[in-house]
Amino acid sequence: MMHVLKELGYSFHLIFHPFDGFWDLKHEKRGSARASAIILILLTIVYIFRRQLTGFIFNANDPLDLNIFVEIFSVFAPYFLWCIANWCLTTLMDGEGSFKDICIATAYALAPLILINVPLIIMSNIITTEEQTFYTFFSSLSVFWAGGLIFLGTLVTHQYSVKKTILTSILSIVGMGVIIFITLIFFNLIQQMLGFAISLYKEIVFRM
Amino acid sequence: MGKKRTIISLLVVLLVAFTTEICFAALPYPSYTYNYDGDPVASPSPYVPKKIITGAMLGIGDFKEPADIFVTREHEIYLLDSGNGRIICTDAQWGNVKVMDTFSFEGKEEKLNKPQGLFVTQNKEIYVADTDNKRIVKMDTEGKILKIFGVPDTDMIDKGIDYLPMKIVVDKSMRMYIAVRNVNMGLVELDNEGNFLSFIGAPKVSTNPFLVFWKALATKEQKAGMRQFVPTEYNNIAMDEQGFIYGTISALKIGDLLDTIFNRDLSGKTAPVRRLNATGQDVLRRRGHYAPVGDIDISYMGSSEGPSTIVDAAPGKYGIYSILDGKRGRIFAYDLDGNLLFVFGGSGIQDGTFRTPTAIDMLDSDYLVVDSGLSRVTQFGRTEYGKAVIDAVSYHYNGKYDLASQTWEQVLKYNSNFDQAYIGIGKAKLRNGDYSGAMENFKIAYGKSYYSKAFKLFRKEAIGDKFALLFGLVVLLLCSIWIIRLVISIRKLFKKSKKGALRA
Repeated sequence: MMHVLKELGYSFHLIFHPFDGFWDLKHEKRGSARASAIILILLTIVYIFRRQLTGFIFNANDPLDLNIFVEIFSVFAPYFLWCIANWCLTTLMDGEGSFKDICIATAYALAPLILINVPLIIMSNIITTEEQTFYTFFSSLSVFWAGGLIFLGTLVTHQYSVKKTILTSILSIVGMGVIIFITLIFFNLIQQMLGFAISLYKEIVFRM
Repeated sequence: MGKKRTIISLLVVLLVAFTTEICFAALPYPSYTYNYDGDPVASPSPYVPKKIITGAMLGIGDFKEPADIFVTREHEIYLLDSGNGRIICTDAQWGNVKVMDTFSFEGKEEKLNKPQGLFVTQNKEIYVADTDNKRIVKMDTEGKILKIFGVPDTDMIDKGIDYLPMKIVVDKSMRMYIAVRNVNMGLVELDNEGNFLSFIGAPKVSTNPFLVFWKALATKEQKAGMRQFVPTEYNNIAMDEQGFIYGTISALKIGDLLDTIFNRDLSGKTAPVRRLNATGQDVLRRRGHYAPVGDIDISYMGSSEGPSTIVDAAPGKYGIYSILDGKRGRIFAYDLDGNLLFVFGGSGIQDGTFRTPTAIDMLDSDYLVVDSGLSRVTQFGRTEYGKAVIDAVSYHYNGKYDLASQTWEQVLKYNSNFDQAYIGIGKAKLRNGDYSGAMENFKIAYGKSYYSKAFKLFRKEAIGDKFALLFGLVVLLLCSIWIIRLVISIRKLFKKSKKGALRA
């Protein structure tokens, strides 16, 4: 139990000291897959809270439209898409990180989103439209911070130079698009095959 | 005998009850408002058709394509029967009909040729935009023409194209403001002698960094060709009691209008109705959920698809103004802040619908709508619901907030969908210091900016005035810590980059 908490606590250190943080994450095993999973679940919960509990002035969501499955999917799907695409590309481009390393590093990089959004939700309930700039500022800060950490995580985990990291990141995003595209085609194909099999069955049944 | 009678009467009753069809007179148009999400929600009818006026009914021969109508302060009605080149003047009950179809100027007989615009000053001078004769005609109530204003003598108006004045308003200093067809630099402003003063009402092109850059590089010829003003062609104008001009524009890009609706744009950049002050600036308040553009929930198929085409505006009392949609024949009434109060009217030939509505004006609390396609005028009278809504707005306008609040409660009994009523009650509570009650009402009506105001006062009451200061200091402190950390990390990045290059 303490072990897991220690691993989670490591994220605080990591987000302020990315270089040492990611290095130790990989080599000193300061983080774990268990803690990453917990971070992702926490992130989903925080986003659900953000959706429902943000102050009236800033909340553009209809509280009746909450769909838990959509919320879970919208956190886990991009996460895994990125990890898979990144792993595929970095394996081909002499990266030193394994799939597990990428997953853990990316999860820890998302910690600022949780840390900033919790006080942000509380804050949104006690400020007015004139103080909106603060809200927008912190919201954007969390996103840019997390994005920057993913970038630095890729850099340190695979031991790339800055240029190579930028290239790999762009290609990873393209890779995510390719995976989505192929998945859609795959599903369409299965749908057609299934449709064919069902109509074949129906034909036979009706002729008997 | 008694028993037989009872049985027969019972049978009759049953017969009648089961064979009678339910019969009711429904209005041929829907009545609704829009909620925060842009969905139309049903509302009781605010106005119903009271009277249809045709030329035949007045005993003077049918109207032909009437284009404009004007109601004076003394409630006299002046109707411009354009196709017949005549002006019809009646009192408020459509009696004492006076027809002006012969006009004389300095002894010679004159005729009006398809005049499109009409304005009557307080001194009973009638200004007519005599369109196809390319002039403005000023006459008295007997048809004697006092002055004729032709094409203004100025370089700003292209002499090569026809000067076709369409609509005219005149202010207290007898200055004329004319909407001229095919002139897209705004309204033409003439002094009382007919001398050209300026164009007003066309907003300046808003500058952006790209334009500044481009202007620095452009040649003289290119700069001369660059537009200074957004091309604006008004299709109709009306003047309110304070001398502001309500101008309507139909020549707007559909894409821009749809963007304005979709993005809830309240800036007034794409605006089919504007309220111009003396210098031509648009001072219309747009503080509702959506800008005053007419319909929000629009269909993109069928014969009347797309955003509303506003053809006229009628300023009313208590800051209320109404706009007329030529496309679907609807009248939209907004309050001073741009909140939609109600919608009524439709397309068709039944009472209360129009084929080609061209002009609207108010006769006391009634609406008069001119239909040039059916050559008639429809007079709408208000229902109890309409009266309740307008009364509530009037109390608020006059600062009687508690009375307004009571009337809004009444309106809610008729129509619990009406967002404005909740906002009205919230505003009254705000003035009375009931901040949490105000916040509750604003929340129901999705009035975010009002809620923010109420919340600010609520917070001030709860925590005190120093909140903003404290908050700002805390944020400043945290930011400086983060910036320092960031700078240190970036420095490390450069050092590590060198290390990384060594490794690779």
